[in-house]
Amino acid sequence: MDKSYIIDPNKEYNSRQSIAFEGEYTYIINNKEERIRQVNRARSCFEQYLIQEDTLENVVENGEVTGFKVGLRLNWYRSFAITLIRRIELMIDGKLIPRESITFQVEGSKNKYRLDDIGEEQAFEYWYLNKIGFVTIDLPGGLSKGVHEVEALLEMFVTYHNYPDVSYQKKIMRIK
Amino acid sequence: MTGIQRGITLYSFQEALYFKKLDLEDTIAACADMGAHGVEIIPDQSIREFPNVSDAFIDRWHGLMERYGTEPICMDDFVETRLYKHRPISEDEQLERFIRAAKLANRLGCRIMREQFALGEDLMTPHLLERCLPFAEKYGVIIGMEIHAPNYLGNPQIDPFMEIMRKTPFAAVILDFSIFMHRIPSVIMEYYLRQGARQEVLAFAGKEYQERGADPTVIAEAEKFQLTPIEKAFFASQFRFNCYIEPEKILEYAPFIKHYHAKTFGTSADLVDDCIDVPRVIRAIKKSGYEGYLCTELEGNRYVHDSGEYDCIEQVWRNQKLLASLL
Repeated sequence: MDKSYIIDPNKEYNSRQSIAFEGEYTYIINNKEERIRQVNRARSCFEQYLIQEDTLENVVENGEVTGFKVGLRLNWYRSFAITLIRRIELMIDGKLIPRESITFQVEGSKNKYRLDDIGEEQAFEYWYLNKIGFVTIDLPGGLSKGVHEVEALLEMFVTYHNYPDVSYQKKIMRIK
Repeated sequence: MTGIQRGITLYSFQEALYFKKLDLEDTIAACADMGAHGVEIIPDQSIREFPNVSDAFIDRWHGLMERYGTEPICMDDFVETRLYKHRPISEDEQLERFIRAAKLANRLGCRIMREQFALGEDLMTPHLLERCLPFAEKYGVIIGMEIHAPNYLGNPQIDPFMEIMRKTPFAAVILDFSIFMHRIPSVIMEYYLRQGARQEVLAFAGKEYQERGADPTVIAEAEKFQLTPIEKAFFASQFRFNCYIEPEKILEYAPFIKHYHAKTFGTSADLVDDCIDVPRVIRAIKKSGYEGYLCTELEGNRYVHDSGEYDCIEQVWRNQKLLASLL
């Protein structure tokens, strides 16, 4: 049986290649065709649980609503070093959230990061399998009370896959 | 220890851990209940404080082993390649991470640690393996290179690794039953059916796989159905990443195989594995003179999360009963 395909199954990445984004960041959550292609490309797991129930809430700092947050779950069977997070993208009520306004924090951890600030020093900081990854979004005034449509996309690098694992979920959530 | 023993990799309980239905102690108790005395662990899955594992945890771990009459067997390590966004990880850094992992395996009392072959990728290359060996010896742990589909016994790409294994007892093969998959698992077929793949397309795939194995030329032939994205994903995964070889191939590699993953995608109530001829595989393993553990590795759970709850305990138990009936 010909097994030569083991080495190169339509490889888009290889492990000696940088995974940094080059040039302007291109979102995929708002590009349906590309999103479907990437979600189907590698089969992650638990993607139906990406957005954790009952986690959407406004964030209050010093008496003022500065934004809102939502909890995500991992799309793999192991924990991850947080340096393996490549994308977290969000849409709220159909509106794209800029990458720069997202902060990430593992449940129970003191450390909060802007996505682009997660660097080599964080290689031993883990997002444990059954913990929530909280995503905080800067939005003065926060979200209005009531129901919102939340879309989330998570892209992680699984060590032995040839390409990143992309998971996406849309959920109707209520702000408390 | 003599003969062939039964064990379980805690990987099998992944969703129970993910959904906090079972904790580490529960999973070890489950192994003991099923008469599986060997425990295999993925540290970053089962140890909440990973990567900084405290002595208190190690004490608790050994206490659990004693309480439940189980023993640690294998620790699964992963060679990271894309840990840093702006540059590839260097081999020196991979070695450092290996040493960290070998120390942990030693503290956990595991006699073998699972590593993954670099086949065109930079996971464990022969060069890195050679550099890891002195540390494997220092920490008293065998580096078990896992042969898992689509890799297979007889693949010329593993020859450089086999050369190393001839020279040292600290490098060996862990064989995963995934290389003996004679049909596409029902859980996978059902998953793709729920995701919108057409019945006739899946039936074509199932029939071709049974006749030709994971032959990637089927992918091009399937284009006659004008595949949807989900169907394309199905063919790409099932005809590139599965494998079937004759179980008797084990005999050629017998001296190098020091651990087994009894992979299963599901077992019926009357103890027939869905896609692996377990009785034939066990006959080959017995004939090879193997002494050591067969660890159940339940894989069926990966394809059911969209369809409701899944009883991983029942599925692991069926595989254990099947193994017990054959040993």
